[in-house]
Amino acid sequence: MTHTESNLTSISVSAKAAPAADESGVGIFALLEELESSLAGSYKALLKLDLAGIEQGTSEQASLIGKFDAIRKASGNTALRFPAHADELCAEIRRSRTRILQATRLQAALLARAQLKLRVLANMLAEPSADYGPLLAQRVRGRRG
Amino acid sequence: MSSLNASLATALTGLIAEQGAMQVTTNNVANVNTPGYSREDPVLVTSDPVAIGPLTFGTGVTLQSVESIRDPLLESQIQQQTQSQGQFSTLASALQQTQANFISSTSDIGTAISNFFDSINQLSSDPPNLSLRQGVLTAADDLATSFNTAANNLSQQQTSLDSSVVQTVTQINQLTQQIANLNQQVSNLQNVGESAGSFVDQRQQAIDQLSGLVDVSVISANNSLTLTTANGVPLVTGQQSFQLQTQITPAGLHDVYSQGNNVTSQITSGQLGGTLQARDQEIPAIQGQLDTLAAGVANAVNTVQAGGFDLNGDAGTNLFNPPPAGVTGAAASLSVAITDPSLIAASSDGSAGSNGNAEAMYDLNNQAIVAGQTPTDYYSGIVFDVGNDTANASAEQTASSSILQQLNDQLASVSGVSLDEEAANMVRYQDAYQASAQVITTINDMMYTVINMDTLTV
Repeated sequence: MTHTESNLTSISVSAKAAPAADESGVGIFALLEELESSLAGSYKALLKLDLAGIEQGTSEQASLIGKFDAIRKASGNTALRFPAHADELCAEIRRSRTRILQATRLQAALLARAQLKLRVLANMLAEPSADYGPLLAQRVRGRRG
Repeated sequence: MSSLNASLATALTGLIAEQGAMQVTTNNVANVNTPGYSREDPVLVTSDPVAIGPLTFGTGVTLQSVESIRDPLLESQIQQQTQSQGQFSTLASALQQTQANFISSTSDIGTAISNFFDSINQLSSDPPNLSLRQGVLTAADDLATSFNTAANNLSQQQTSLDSSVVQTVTQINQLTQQIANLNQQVSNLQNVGESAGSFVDQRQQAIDQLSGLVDVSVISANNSLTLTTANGVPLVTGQQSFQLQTQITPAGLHDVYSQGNNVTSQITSGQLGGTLQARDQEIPAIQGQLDTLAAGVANAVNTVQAGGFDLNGDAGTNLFNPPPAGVTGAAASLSVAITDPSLIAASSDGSAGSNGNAEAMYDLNNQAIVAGQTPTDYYSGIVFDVGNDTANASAEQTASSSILQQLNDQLASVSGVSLDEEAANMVRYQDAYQASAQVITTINDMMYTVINMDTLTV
């Protein structure tokens, strides 16, 4: 069992013992885990320039943000509520938040590089070709005509 | 009909060509672990045929050239990412060092600000108390020291980065000279139709190293390369290298010159770009923020102090020596102006027991006295900015490293030596060599038959 898995087990035990109204923190933690996993997938897709993978990651992340908002609204936009004695959960959420911030920054940097690479490739594919000459000539003829 | 001698010559071309191909394979195998080596392939072509009467006969095989297997697009991408990696690893390293000044501790500026206002708050509970007054002076001195320390550390870091600029320019000049020399060797060989693979490899390695130091744009023409920075500062043209120089500025830092022009601001990437960014942009920005904070706190405290009365009933004098006009250098020079604790103007009416002015001074903690923010909020903003810039630089560095690793793997699959492939080639060339040798043996037998034809007949 991994460190994260063992944390998750202890979290679910705490959650069962706590009233449902105090579980927004647990819900957020589960979403953070999903977000981390999705960002890791996007990282691989961006390195491979796997456009389908990038799109899937983006759509997953957009959906997760929607779920975050829903939890926030449900909790009345107040601070997150945690089960009693959930110090370990709070600490894990803070660590997860740090990892996600790093992964997001990395994703932004990789996206910028992917855009640059695709722009270079597009420019190479659109090299000056003979097509431009006749098209230009047609246009000039059209204006004169 | 072709003669036996012609057949012998044809078989001989096979032996020579396969021997050459084997030499190429041997060289590939020998360089399997050589960094920057590009696999070479022998290019075998059919020799020109000869026409004898109505028939045309082949004349064997020629080892036309030895080609290095390269991918210019991959190489160009590697250069680009090497530049980014050089820039961001230097920047991240510099910012991590800067960040150390803002880590929460007993002596950081944020703690010193809190301690200073806490000491004033304590004084307001018992204004005539000399011990509490001394506590305010000690806290003010600690606050000034924390500003001085951070400003001096930033200044020292800037000086250290400036030394790196000079060292990096020296390294760049060595590499551009080396590339110009290699350009000449490549050009000499290619102009006479010979393979310059190993020199091209060496040149490519030097360009990769140069890319780590400065932004490089490579233009290939006429068997030679021209290198400039991304902004067009010339570095190498064919066999000539253009040396960069450094000149000290009135501020005591070194600017970079190319052919008499200051090109410091035109260098944007590579290790030199990262060093210049940290030295000329990041650190001065933080120094400016610290100066604003130090001047804001000192001026506000002095103003309140001037509006109150000290323990002797006299009008208050400056608690901090006034920061310089224009605030530049305020953090480095911040110091406490008084040593006598009775001179702290805690009273608002001149009586010893009054704490009105001490409370007003304490309230500064929650007032927008530094560029529209409270001192604590402004300091938090500095800490956030430094942390954010450091994290961004680290992310950029990681992104470049990841992509660079991937590109190098791709290049290795194109240009790297595969021992399996070379083993297969070796067997192929060996078989062909043996077959050519067998042909020569057969022709030799046939010649023997021809030479001894008369004897045989007898």
